[in-house]
Amino acid sequence: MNQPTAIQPPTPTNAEEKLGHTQFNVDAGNPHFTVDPAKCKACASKPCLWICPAENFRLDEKGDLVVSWEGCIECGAVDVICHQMGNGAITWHYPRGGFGVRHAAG
Amino acid sequence: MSNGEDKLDVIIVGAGPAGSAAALVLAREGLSVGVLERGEYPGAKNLFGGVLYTTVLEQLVPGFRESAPLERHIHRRRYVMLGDGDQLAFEFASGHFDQAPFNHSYSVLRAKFDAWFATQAEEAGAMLLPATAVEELIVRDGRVVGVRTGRDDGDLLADVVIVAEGCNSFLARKAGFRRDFQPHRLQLAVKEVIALDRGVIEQRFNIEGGQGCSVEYFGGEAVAGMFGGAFIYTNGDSLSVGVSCAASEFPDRRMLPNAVLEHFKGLPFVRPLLAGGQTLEYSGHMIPEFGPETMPRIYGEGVLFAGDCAGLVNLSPFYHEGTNLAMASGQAAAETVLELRKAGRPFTAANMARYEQRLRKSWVCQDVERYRGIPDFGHRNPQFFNKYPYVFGSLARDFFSVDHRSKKQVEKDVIRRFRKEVGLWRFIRDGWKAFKALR
Repeated sequence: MNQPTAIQPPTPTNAEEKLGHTQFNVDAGNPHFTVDPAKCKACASKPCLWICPAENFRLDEKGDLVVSWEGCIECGAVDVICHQMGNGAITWHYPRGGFGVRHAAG
Repeated sequence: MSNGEDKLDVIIVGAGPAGSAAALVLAREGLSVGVLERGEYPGAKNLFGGVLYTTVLEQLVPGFRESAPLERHIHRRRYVMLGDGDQLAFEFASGHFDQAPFNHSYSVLRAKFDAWFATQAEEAGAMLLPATAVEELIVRDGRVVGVRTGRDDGDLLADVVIVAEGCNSFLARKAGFRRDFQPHRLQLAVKEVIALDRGVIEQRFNIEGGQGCSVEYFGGEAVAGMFGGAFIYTNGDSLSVGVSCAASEFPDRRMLPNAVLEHFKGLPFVRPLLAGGQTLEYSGHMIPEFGPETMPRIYGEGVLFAGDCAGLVNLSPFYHEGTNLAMASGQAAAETVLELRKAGRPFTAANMARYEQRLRKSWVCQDVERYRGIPDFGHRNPQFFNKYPYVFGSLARDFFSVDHRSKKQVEKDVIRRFRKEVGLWRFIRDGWKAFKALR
Protein backbone atom coordinates (compact mmCIF):
# COMPACT_ATOMS: atom_id res chain seq x y z
CA MET A 1 0.00 0.00 0.00
CA ASN A 2 1.22 3.50 -0.79
CA GLN A 3 1.90 5.92 2.02
CA PRO A 4 -1.29 7.78 2.84
CA THR A 5 -1.24 11.23 1.35
CA ALA A 6 -3.36 14.23 2.14
CA ILE A 7 -6.64 13.94 0.28
CA GLN A 8 -8.59 16.92 -0.87
CA PRO A 9 -12.08 16.12 0.39
CA PRO A 10 -14.95 16.68 -2.00
CA THR A 11 -17.12 19.73 -1.62
CA PRO A 12 -20.49 18.62 -0.27
CA THR A 13 -23.33 19.08 -2.71
CA ASN A 14 -26.94 19.39 -1.60
CA ALA A 15 -27.37 15.60 -1.34
CA GLU A 16 -28.19 15.83 2.35
CA GLU A 17 -30.97 18.30 1.69
CA LYS A 18 -32.36 16.11 -1.11
CA LEU A 19 -32.37 13.08 1.15
CA GLY A 20 -34.92 14.95 3.23
CA HIS A 21 -37.41 14.01 0.50
CA THR A 22 -36.56 10.30 0.62
CA GLN A 23 -38.24 8.07 3.21
CA PHE A 24 -36.30 5.81 5.57
CA ASN A 25 -37.18 3.33 8.26
CA VAL A 26 -33.95 3.61 10.25
CA ASP A 27 -32.82 0.50 12.14
CA ALA A 28 -31.72 2.55 15.17
CA GLY A 29 -28.49 1.29 16.68
CA ASN A 30 -27.87 -1.25 13.91
CA PRO A 31 -25.49 0.12 11.29
CA HIS A 32 -25.54 -2.05 8.20
CA PHE A 33 -21.96 -1.37 7.26
CA THR A 34 -18.65 -1.25 9.07
CA VAL A 35 -15.24 0.31 8.40
CA ASP A 36 -11.95 -1.31 9.43
CA PRO A 37 -10.06 1.75 10.77
CA ALA A 38 -6.55 0.35 10.16
CA LYS A 39 -7.28 -0.66 6.58
CA CYS A 40 -9.01 2.66 5.98
CA LYS A 41 -6.07 4.65 7.36
CA ALA A 42 -3.70 2.81 5.06
CA CYS A 43 -5.84 3.64 2.01
CA ALA A 44 -4.27 6.41 -0.03
CA SER A 45 -7.01 6.95 -2.58
CA LYS A 46 -10.22 6.77 -0.52
CA PRO A 47 -12.54 6.32 -3.53
CA CYS A 48 -15.48 6.07 -1.11
CA LEU A 49 -15.37 9.87 -0.79
CA TRP A 50 -16.44 10.20 -4.43
CA ILE A 51 -18.89 7.37 -4.98
CA CYS A 52 -21.75 7.75 -2.54
CA PRO A 53 -24.92 9.39 -3.94
CA ALA A 54 -25.92 10.21 -0.36
CA GLU A 55 -22.41 11.49 0.49
CA ASN A 56 -22.28 9.39 3.62
CA PHE A 57 -18.47 9.13 3.56
CA ARG A 58 -16.59 12.24 4.67
CA LEU A 59 -13.25 13.13 6.19
CA ASP A 60 -12.99 14.90 9.53
CA GLU A 61 -10.35 17.59 10.27
CA LYS A 62 -7.81 14.90 11.18
CA GLY A 63 -8.32 13.16 7.84
CA ASP A 64 -10.16 10.20 9.37
CA LEU A 65 -13.17 8.76 7.64
CA VAL A 66 -16.54 9.61 9.17
CA VAL A 67 -19.52 7.61 7.99
CA SER A 68 -23.23 8.05 8.49
CA TRP A 69 -25.37 5.08 7.60
CA GLU A 70 -28.87 6.25 8.49
CA GLY A 71 -29.34 8.04 5.18
CA CYS A 72 -28.04 5.18 3.02
CA ILE A 73 -30.05 4.73 -0.18
CA GLU A 74 -28.63 1.20 -0.64
CA CYS A 75 -27.14 1.39 -4.12
CA GLY A 76 -24.24 -0.78 -2.91
CA ALA A 77 -21.61 1.08 -4.96
CA VAL A 78 -19.29 1.80 -2.04
CA ASP A 79 -18.82 -1.90 -1.35
CA VAL A 80 -17.54 -2.50 -4.88
CA ILE A 81 -15.49 0.71 -5.07
CA CYS A 82 -13.80 0.21 -1.69
CA HIS A 83 -12.82 -3.37 -2.47
CA GLN A 84 -11.83 -2.86 -6.10
CA MET A 85 -10.34 0.65 -6.05
CA GLY A 86 -9.59 1.20 -2.35
CA ASN A 87 -8.24 -0.96 0.45
CA GLY A 88 -11.25 -3.15 1.26
CA ALA A 89 -11.93 -1.44 4.60
CA ILE A 90 -15.69 -1.13 4.14
CA THR A 91 -18.00 -4.09 4.58
CA TRP A 92 -21.39 -3.12 3.30
CA HIS A 93 -24.54 -5.18 3.33
CA TYR A 94 -28.27 -4.59 3.13
CA PRO A 95 -30.08 -3.45 6.28
CA ARG A 96 -32.27 -5.97 8.09
CA GLY A 97 -35.52 -6.87 6.38
CA GLY A 98 -38.07 -4.06 6.51
CA PHE A 99 -35.51 -1.39 7.42
CA GLY A 100 -33.65 1.20 5.40
CA VAL A 101 -34.73 3.20 2.39
CA ARG A 102 -38.39 3.09 1.43
CA HIS A 103 -39.22 4.38 -2.04
CA ALA A 104 -42.58 6.01 -2.49
CA ALA A 105 -41.96 6.65 -6.21
CA GLY A 106 -38.95 4.57 -7.24
CA MET B 1 -43.22 -22.26 8.47
CA SER B 2 -41.17 -21.93 11.60
CA ASN B 3 -40.08 -25.51 12.28
CA GLY B 4 -38.22 -25.77 9.01
CA GLU B 5 -39.90 -29.07 8.17
CA ASP B 6 -42.73 -27.60 6.13
CA LYS B 7 -41.36 -27.42 2.67
CA LEU B 8 -42.58 -25.20 -0.12
CA ASP B 9 -42.46 -26.17 -3.75
CA VAL B 10 -40.59 -22.99 -4.67
CA ILE B 11 -39.00 -20.13 -2.75
CA ILE B 12 -38.41 -16.91 -4.66
CA VAL B 13 -35.97 -14.31 -3.37
CA GLY B 14 -37.08 -10.82 -4.32
CA ALA B 15 -40.46 -9.41 -5.33
CA GLY B 16 -39.22 -7.33 -8.26
CA PRO B 17 -40.27 -7.95 -11.88
CA ALA B 18 -38.33 -11.23 -12.18
CA GLY B 19 -39.48 -12.67 -8.85
CA SER B 20 -43.13 -11.69 -9.23
CA ALA B 21 -43.24 -13.00 -12.83
CA ALA B 22 -41.90 -16.37 -11.65
CA ALA B 23 -44.30 -16.41 -8.67
CA LEU B 24 -47.27 -15.60 -10.88
CA VAL B 25 -46.57 -18.41 -13.37
CA LEU B 26 -45.91 -21.00 -10.63
CA ALA B 27 -48.83 -20.06 -8.38
CA ARG B 28 -51.24 -20.24 -11.31
CA GLU B 29 -50.22 -23.88 -11.76
CA GLY B 30 -51.08 -24.53 -8.12
CA LEU B 31 -47.56 -24.80 -6.69
CA SER B 32 -46.88 -23.57 -3.16
CA VAL B 33 -44.74 -20.46 -3.66
CA GLY B 34 -43.15 -18.21 -1.05
CA VAL B 35 -41.82 -14.82 -2.19
CA LEU B 36 -39.35 -13.18 0.21
CA GLU B 37 -38.89 -9.44 -0.13
CA ARG B 38 -36.47 -7.44 2.02
CA GLY B 39 -38.39 -4.20 1.56
CA GLU B 40 -41.37 -3.25 3.69
CA TYR B 41 -43.43 -3.76 0.53
CA PRO B 42 -42.53 -4.84 -3.01
CA GLY B 43 -41.01 -1.87 -4.79
CA ALA B 44 -39.74 -0.22 -1.60
CA LYS B 45 -36.13 -0.83 -2.67
CA ASN B 46 -36.61 -0.69 -6.40
CA LEU B 47 -35.86 1.95 -8.93
CA PHE B 48 -35.14 2.36 -12.62
CA GLY B 49 -34.78 5.16 -15.10
CA GLY B 50 -38.28 5.12 -16.16
CA VAL B 51 -39.42 3.13 -19.20
CA LEU B 52 -41.02 -0.30 -18.87
CA TYR B 53 -41.37 -2.50 -21.95
CA THR B 54 -44.44 -4.64 -21.61
CA THR B 55 -44.21 -7.45 -24.18
CA VAL B 56 -43.78 -10.08 -21.46
CA LEU B 57 -46.21 -8.41 -19.07
CA GLU B 58 -48.88 -8.58 -21.75
CA GLN B 59 -48.49 -12.37 -21.88
CA LEU B 60 -48.50 -12.70 -18.10
CA VAL B 61 -51.33 -10.28 -17.32
CA PRO B 62 -53.27 -9.68 -20.56
CA GLY B 63 -55.52 -6.97 -19.10
CA PHE B 64 -52.70 -5.07 -17.38
CA ARG B 65 -53.59 -1.76 -19.04
CA GLU B 66 -56.82 -1.63 -17.03
CA SER B 67 -55.26 -2.02 -13.61
CA ALA B 68 -51.48 -1.45 -13.69
CA PRO B 69 -50.18 1.92 -12.45
CA LEU B 70 -48.82 3.12 -15.81
CA GLU B 71 -47.78 6.76 -16.08
CA ARG B 72 -47.65 7.54 -19.82
CA HIS B 73 -47.08 5.60 -23.04
CA ILE B 74 -43.90 6.66 -24.85
CA HIS B 75 -45.05 8.61 -27.88
CA ARG B 76 -41.92 10.67 -28.42
CA ARG B 77 -38.25 9.67 -28.08
CA ARG B 78 -35.51 12.23 -28.15
CA TYR B 79 -31.77 11.46 -28.29
CA VAL B 80 -29.48 14.32 -27.43
CA MET B 81 -25.78 15.17 -27.41
CA LEU B 82 -24.80 18.26 -25.45
CA GLY B 83 -21.56 20.07 -26.16
CA ASP B 84 -20.14 23.33 -24.90
CA GLY B 85 -23.27 25.44 -25.20
CA ASP B 86 -24.53 23.42 -28.17
CA GLN B 87 -27.25 20.80 -28.48
CA LEU B 88 -27.58 18.20 -31.22
CA ALA B 89 -30.76 16.15 -31.06
CA PHE B 90 -32.63 13.49 -32.94
CA GLU B 91 -36.29 12.91 -32.27
CA PHE B 92 -38.81 10.32 -33.26
CA ALA B 93 -42.52 10.50 -32.46
CA SER B 94 -45.31 8.39 -33.84
CA GLY B 95 -49.06 8.56 -33.89
CA HIS B 96 -48.93 4.81 -34.45
CA PHE B 97 -47.78 4.45 -30.85
CA ASP B 98 -50.94 6.13 -29.53
CA GLN B 99 -53.18 3.09 -29.61
CA ALA B 100 -52.97 -0.37 -28.06
CA PRO B 101 -50.48 -1.89 -27.63
CA PHE B 102 -48.89 1.58 -27.34
CA ASN B 103 -45.59 0.22 -28.67
CA HIS B 104 -45.32 -1.74 -25.38
CA SER B 105 -43.49 1.22 -23.81
CA TYR B 106 -44.64 3.07 -20.70
CA SER B 107 -43.09 5.30 -18.11
CA VAL B 108 -43.78 3.88 -14.64
CA LEU B 109 -42.71 4.47 -11.05
CA ARG B 110 -41.38 1.26 -9.61
CA ALA B 111 -42.61 1.57 -6.03
CA LYS B 112 -46.13 1.63 -7.41
CA PHE B 113 -45.66 -0.76 -10.31
CA ASP B 114 -43.77 -3.48 -8.42
CA ALA B 115 -46.34 -3.43 -5.61
CA TRP B 116 -49.11 -3.90 -8.18
CA PHE B 117 -47.25 -6.71 -9.98
CA ALA B 118 -46.56 -8.56 -6.70
CA THR B 119 -50.27 -8.31 -5.91
CA GLN B 120 -51.02 -10.15 -9.17
CA ALA B 121 -48.82 -13.01 -7.95
CA GLU B 122 -50.47 -12.95 -4.54
CA GLU B 123 -53.93 -13.09 -6.09
CA ALA B 124 -52.80 -16.13 -8.07
CA GLY B 125 -51.97 -17.81 -4.75
CA ALA B 126 -48.32 -16.95 -4.04
CA MET B 127 -47.44 -16.18 -0.42
CA LEU B 128 -45.62 -12.87 -0.06
CA LEU B 129 -43.35 -12.32 2.93
CA PRO B 130 -42.25 -8.67 2.94
CA ALA B 131 -39.65 -7.21 5.34
CA THR B 132 -37.79 -10.52 5.07
CA ALA B 133 -34.13 -10.41 4.07
CA VAL B 134 -32.45 -13.59 2.89
CA GLU B 135 -28.97 -13.93 4.39
CA GLU B 136 -27.79 -16.98 2.52
CA LEU B 137 -28.78 -19.98 0.49
CA ILE B 138 -28.91 -23.23 2.49
CA VAL B 139 -26.75 -25.75 0.68
CA ARG B 140 -26.75 -29.45 1.61
CA ASP B 141 -24.59 -31.97 -0.24
CA GLY B 142 -23.91 -29.40 -2.94
CA ARG B 143 -27.58 -28.73 -3.49
CA VAL B 144 -29.56 -25.57 -2.68
CA VAL B 145 -32.42 -26.72 -0.42
CA GLY B 146 -33.70 -23.44 0.98
CA VAL B 147 -32.83 -20.02 2.34
CA ARG B 148 -31.77 -18.58 5.68
CA THR B 149 -33.72 -15.43 6.47
CA GLY B 150 -33.03 -12.77 9.06
CA ARG B 151 -36.13 -13.77 11.05
CA ASP B 152 -36.13 -15.98 14.16
CA ASP B 153 -36.32 -19.65 13.16
CA GLY B 154 -35.74 -18.21 9.76
CA ASP B 155 -34.77 -21.26 7.70
CA LEU B 156 -37.19 -22.01 4.88
CA LEU B 157 -36.91 -25.08 2.70
CA ALA B 158 -38.14 -25.71 -0.83
CA ASP B 159 -37.62 -28.05 -3.76
CA VAL B 160 -36.31 -25.13 -5.83
CA VAL B 161 -35.07 -21.64 -5.04
CA ILE B 162 -35.39 -18.93 -7.69
CA VAL B 163 -33.10 -16.04 -6.84
CA ALA B 164 -34.21 -12.66 -8.20
CA GLU B 165 -32.25 -10.51 -5.78
CA GLY B 166 -31.29 -7.63 -8.07
CA CYS B 167 -28.00 -6.06 -9.07
CA ASN B 168 -26.04 -6.33 -5.84
CA SER B 169 -26.56 -10.11 -5.88
CA PHE B 170 -24.93 -10.96 -2.56
CA LEU B 171 -26.42 -14.47 -2.59
CA ALA B 172 -25.01 -15.24 -6.03
CA ARG B 173 -21.60 -13.92 -4.97
CA LYS B 174 -21.58 -15.87 -1.70
CA ALA B 175 -22.63 -19.09 -3.41
CA GLY B 176 -19.98 -18.64 -6.11
CA PHE B 177 -22.32 -17.99 -9.02
CA ARG B 178 -20.85 -14.64 -9.94
CA ARG B 179 -17.40 -13.07 -9.71
CA ASP B 180 -16.55 -9.75 -8.10
CA PHE B 181 -17.86 -6.71 -9.89
CA GLN B 182 -15.47 -4.54 -11.85
CA PRO B 183 -16.16 -0.84 -11.21
CA HIS B 184 -15.85 0.08 -14.89
CA ARG B 185 -18.47 -2.54 -15.76
CA LEU B 186 -21.10 -1.29 -13.41
CA GLN B 187 -23.28 1.75 -13.87
CA LEU B 188 -24.22 3.88 -10.92
CA ALA B 189 -27.36 5.93 -11.51
CA VAL B 190 -28.84 8.66 -9.37
CA LYS B 191 -32.30 9.98 -9.95
CA GLU B 192 -34.81 12.50 -8.76
CA VAL B 193 -38.54 12.32 -9.20
CA ILE B 194 -39.65 15.91 -9.68
CA ALA B 195 -43.31 16.87 -9.31
CA LEU B 196 -44.63 19.13 -12.04
CA ASP B 197 -48.09 20.07 -13.18
CA ARG B 198 -49.49 17.68 -15.80
CA GLY B 199 -50.32 20.47 -18.24
CA VAL B 200 -46.88 22.05 -17.86
CA ILE B 201 -45.23 18.70 -18.64
CA GLU B 202 -47.37 18.28 -21.75
CA GLN B 203 -46.52 21.77 -23.03
CA ARG B 204 -42.80 21.46 -22.39
CA PHE B 205 -42.44 18.04 -23.98
CA ASN B 206 -44.95 18.56 -26.79
CA ILE B 207 -47.31 15.76 -25.74
CA GLU B 208 -50.97 15.50 -24.81
CA GLY B 209 -53.41 13.13 -23.16
CA GLY B 210 -51.66 9.93 -22.12
CA GLN B 211 -48.64 10.55 -24.35
CA GLY B 212 -45.18 10.51 -22.84
CA CYS B 213 -41.70 11.54 -23.89
CA SER B 214 -38.31 10.02 -23.19
CA VAL B 215 -35.16 12.09 -23.51
CA GLU B 216 -31.78 10.34 -23.48
CA TYR B 217 -28.51 12.26 -23.37
CA PHE B 218 -25.32 10.56 -24.58
CA GLY B 219 -22.12 11.49 -22.76
CA GLY B 220 -20.94 15.01 -23.51
CA GLU B 221 -21.73 17.94 -21.28
CA ALA B 222 -24.82 16.16 -19.88
CA VAL B 223 -22.43 14.14 -17.70
CA ALA B 224 -19.38 16.42 -17.88
CA GLY B 225 -17.76 14.16 -20.48
CA MET B 226 -17.89 11.08 -18.27
CA PHE B 227 -18.65 7.59 -19.60
CA GLY B 228 -22.39 7.58 -19.18
CA GLY B 229 -25.52 9.50 -19.94
CA ALA B 230 -28.52 11.29 -18.54
CA PHE B 231 -32.27 10.96 -18.93
CA ILE B 232 -35.61 12.66 -18.48
CA TYR B 233 -38.80 10.61 -18.62
CA THR B 234 -42.27 12.09 -18.30
CA ASN B 235 -44.63 10.55 -15.76
CA GLY B 236 -48.25 11.61 -15.25
CA ASP B 237 -47.50 14.59 -13.05
CA SER B 238 -43.79 14.21 -12.41
CA LEU B 239 -40.49 13.82 -14.25
CA SER B 240 -37.88 11.12 -13.67
CA VAL B 241 -34.55 12.89 -14.04
CA GLY B 242 -31.17 11.24 -13.59
CA VAL B 243 -27.63 10.52 -14.63
CA SER B 244 -25.86 7.20 -14.94
CA CYS B 245 -22.12 6.67 -15.32
CA ALA B 246 -19.62 3.84 -14.95
CA ALA B 247 -19.01 3.55 -11.19
CA SER B 248 -15.24 3.89 -11.67
CA GLU B 249 -15.72 7.31 -13.27
CA PHE B 250 -16.77 9.07 -10.06
CA PRO B 251 -13.53 8.43 -8.12
CA ASP B 252 -11.41 8.66 -11.29
CA ARG B 253 -12.86 12.03 -12.18
CA ARG B 254 -13.37 13.13 -8.58
CA MET B 255 -17.01 13.98 -9.22
CA LEU B 256 -19.70 13.00 -6.73
CA PRO B 257 -22.80 11.43 -8.29
CA ASN B 258 -25.06 14.16 -6.98
CA ALA B 259 -22.66 16.79 -8.33
CA VAL B 260 -23.04 15.25 -11.80
CA LEU B 261 -26.83 15.24 -11.43
CA GLU B 262 -26.83 18.86 -10.29
CA HIS B 263 -24.54 19.77 -13.20
CA PHE B 264 -27.02 18.14 -15.59
CA LYS B 265 -30.07 19.78 -14.03
CA GLY B 266 -28.41 23.18 -14.20
CA LEU B 267 -27.50 23.08 -17.91
CA PRO B 268 -29.21 25.79 -19.98
CA PHE B 269 -30.86 23.15 -22.20
CA VAL B 270 -32.19 21.19 -19.23
CA ARG B 271 -33.07 23.80 -16.62
CA PRO B 272 -36.14 25.17 -18.44
CA LEU B 273 -37.60 21.65 -18.72
CA LEU B 274 -37.48 21.23 -14.94
CA ALA B 275 -38.25 24.79 -13.84
CA GLY B 276 -40.77 25.11 -11.02
CA GLY B 277 -40.66 21.40 -10.19
CA GLN B 278 -40.47 20.07 -6.63
CA THR B 279 -38.24 17.12 -5.79
CA LEU B 280 -40.30 14.27 -4.37
CA GLU B 281 -37.59 11.66 -3.99
CA TYR B 282 -33.84 11.23 -4.46
CA SER B 283 -32.52 7.73 -5.03
CA GLY B 284 -29.63 5.70 -6.42
CA HIS B 285 -29.17 2.28 -7.95
CA MET B 286 -26.63 0.22 -9.86
CA ILE B 287 -26.97 -1.53 -13.22
CA PRO B 288 -24.85 -4.64 -13.85
CA GLU B 289 -22.76 -4.72 -17.02
CA PHE B 290 -21.15 -8.11 -17.24
CA GLY B 291 -18.68 -8.78 -20.02
CA PRO B 292 -18.59 -12.03 -22.00
CA GLU B 293 -16.13 -13.68 -19.62
CA THR B 294 -17.74 -12.46 -16.39
CA MET B 295 -21.36 -13.43 -17.00
CA PRO B 296 -22.71 -15.14 -13.87
CA ARG B 297 -23.79 -18.75 -13.86
CA ILE B 298 -27.58 -18.71 -13.80
CA TYR B 299 -28.48 -22.25 -12.77
CA GLY B 300 -27.24 -24.88 -10.33
CA GLU B 301 -28.42 -27.77 -8.16
CA GLY B 302 -31.85 -26.71 -6.94
CA VAL B 303 -31.41 -23.06 -7.89
CA LEU B 304 -32.05 -20.61 -10.75
CA PHE B 305 -31.13 -16.92 -11.04
CA ALA B 306 -33.28 -14.39 -12.89
CA GLY B 307 -33.25 -10.67 -13.69
CA ASP B 308 -30.40 -8.28 -12.86
CA CYS B 309 -28.58 -10.83 -10.68
CA ALA B 310 -28.37 -13.08 -13.75
CA GLY B 311 -26.80 -10.21 -15.71
CA LEU B 312 -29.80 -9.97 -18.01
CA VAL B 313 -29.67 -6.34 -19.06
CA ASN B 314 -29.77 -4.95 -22.58
CA LEU B 315 -26.93 -2.42 -22.57
CA SER B 316 -27.81 -0.70 -25.83
CA PRO B 317 -28.00 3.06 -25.31
CA PHE B 318 -31.12 3.11 -27.49
CA TYR B 319 -33.16 0.69 -25.39
CA HIS B 320 -31.95 0.54 -21.78
CA GLU B 321 -34.02 -2.57 -21.19
CA GLY B 322 -33.91 -4.53 -17.94
CA THR B 323 -37.34 -5.01 -16.40
CA ASN B 324 -38.74 -6.74 -19.48
CA LEU B 325 -35.80 -9.16 -19.52
CA ALA B 326 -36.31 -9.67 -15.79
CA MET B 327 -39.94 -10.67 -16.39
CA ALA B 328 -38.96 -12.90 -19.31
CA SER B 329 -36.30 -14.68 -17.27
CA GLY B 330 -38.63 -15.07 -14.25
CA GLN B 331 -41.20 -16.58 -16.57
CA ALA B 332 -38.58 -18.89 -18.16
CA ALA B 333 -37.35 -19.99 -14.71
CA ALA B 334 -40.90 -20.82 -13.63
CA GLU B 335 -41.61 -22.70 -16.87
CA THR B 336 -38.41 -24.72 -16.44
CA VAL B 337 -39.53 -25.75 -12.95
CA LEU B 338 -43.00 -26.68 -14.22
CA GLU B 339 -41.56 -28.66 -17.12
CA LEU B 340 -39.22 -30.69 -14.90
CA ARG B 341 -41.95 -31.34 -12.31
CA LYS B 342 -44.35 -32.52 -14.97
CA ALA B 343 -41.74 -34.90 -16.36
CA GLY B 344 -40.95 -36.13 -12.84
CA ARG B 345 -37.30 -35.16 -13.25
CA PRO B 346 -35.15 -33.93 -10.33
CA PHE B 347 -33.88 -30.34 -10.10
CA THR B 348 -30.27 -31.26 -10.77
CA ALA B 349 -27.92 -28.78 -12.42
CA ALA B 350 -27.95 -30.88 -15.59
CA ASN B 351 -31.73 -30.66 -15.78
CA MET B 352 -31.82 -27.01 -14.74
CA ALA B 353 -29.59 -26.21 -17.72
CA ARG B 354 -32.84 -26.21 -19.68
CA TYR B 355 -33.45 -22.75 -18.21
CA GLU B 356 -30.38 -21.31 -19.90
CA GLN B 357 -31.23 -23.15 -23.13
CA ARG B 358 -34.69 -21.59 -23.03
CA LEU B 359 -33.22 -18.10 -22.64
CA ARG B 360 -30.60 -18.70 -25.34
CA LYS B 361 -33.29 -19.67 -27.81
CA SER B 362 -35.30 -16.54 -27.04
CA TRP B 363 -34.68 -12.86 -27.68
CA VAL B 364 -33.52 -12.49 -24.07
CA CYS B 365 -30.00 -13.89 -24.44
CA GLN B 366 -29.78 -12.77 -28.05
CA ASP B 367 -30.31 -9.14 -27.02
CA VAL B 368 -28.04 -9.39 -23.98
CA GLU B 369 -25.21 -10.91 -26.01
CA ARG B 370 -25.55 -8.51 -28.89
CA TYR B 371 -24.93 -5.44 -26.76
CA ARG B 372 -22.65 -6.97 -24.12
CA GLY B 373 -19.52 -5.40 -25.59
CA ILE B 374 -20.76 -1.82 -25.34
CA PRO B 375 -19.26 -0.92 -21.93
CA ASP B 376 -15.81 -2.17 -22.97
CA PHE B 377 -16.17 -0.36 -26.28
CA GLY B 378 -17.02 2.85 -24.46
CA HIS B 379 -14.01 2.60 -22.17
CA ARG B 380 -11.69 1.91 -25.08
CA ASN B 381 -13.17 4.83 -27.03
CA PRO B 382 -13.75 7.70 -24.60
CA GLN B 383 -13.81 10.12 -27.54
CA PHE B 384 -17.48 9.22 -28.04
CA PHE B 385 -18.25 10.70 -24.63
CA ASN B 386 -15.64 13.39 -24.02
CA LYS B 387 -14.86 14.64 -27.54
CA TYR B 388 -17.41 14.04 -30.25
CA PRO B 389 -20.44 15.62 -28.53
CA TYR B 390 -18.39 18.81 -28.12
CA VAL B 391 -16.77 18.79 -31.56
CA PHE B 392 -19.94 18.01 -33.47
CA GLY B 393 -21.87 20.55 -31.44
CA SER B 394 -19.42 23.29 -32.34
CA LEU B 395 -19.23 22.19 -36.00
CA ALA B 396 -23.01 22.43 -36.20
CA ARG B 397 -22.81 25.85 -34.59
CA ASP B 398 -20.34 26.97 -37.26
CA PHE B 399 -22.57 25.58 -39.97
CA PHE B 400 -25.64 27.43 -38.71
CA SER B 401 -23.82 30.64 -37.84
CA VAL B 402 -24.93 33.61 -39.90
CA ASP B 403 -22.19 36.06 -40.88
CA HIS B 404 -20.75 37.84 -43.89
CA ARG B 405 -19.07 34.77 -45.40
CA SER B 406 -20.55 33.16 -48.48
CA LYS B 407 -22.32 29.86 -47.81
CA LYS B 408 -19.69 28.12 -49.85
CA GLN B 409 -16.99 29.55 -47.60
CA VAL B 410 -18.94 28.49 -44.48
CA GLU B 411 -19.11 24.92 -45.74
CA LYS B 412 -15.42 24.95 -46.60
CA ASP B 413 -14.53 26.24 -43.15
CA VAL B 414 -16.65 23.59 -41.43
CA ILE B 415 -15.08 20.83 -43.50
CA ARG B 416 -11.58 22.16 -42.81
CA ARG B 417 -12.26 22.20 -39.06
CA PHE B 418 -13.77 18.72 -39.20
CA ARG B 419 -10.63 17.38 -40.95
CA LYS B 420 -8.38 19.09 -38.44
CA GLU B 421 -10.24 18.18 -35.24
CA VAL B 422 -11.65 14.75 -36.12
CA GLY B 423 -10.19 13.62 -39.44
CA LEU B 424 -12.09 11.86 -42.15
CA TRP B 425 -10.40 8.49 -41.73
CA ARG B 426 -10.64 8.57 -37.99
CA PHE B 427 -14.33 9.43 -38.28
CA ILE B 428 -14.95 6.55 -40.68
CA ARG B 429 -12.97 4.16 -38.47
CA ASP B 430 -14.76 5.22 -35.28
CA GLY B 431 -18.12 5.20 -37.02
CA TRP B 432 -17.50 1.66 -38.21
CA LYS B 433 -16.37 0.57 -34.73
CA ALA B 434 -19.49 2.10 -33.17
CA PHE B 435 -21.68 0.49 -35.79
CA LYS B 436 -20.14 -2.91 -35.05
CA ALA B 437 -20.48 -2.44 -31.27
CA LEU B 438 -24.12 -1.44 -31.58
CA ARG B 439 -25.21 -4.27 -33.79
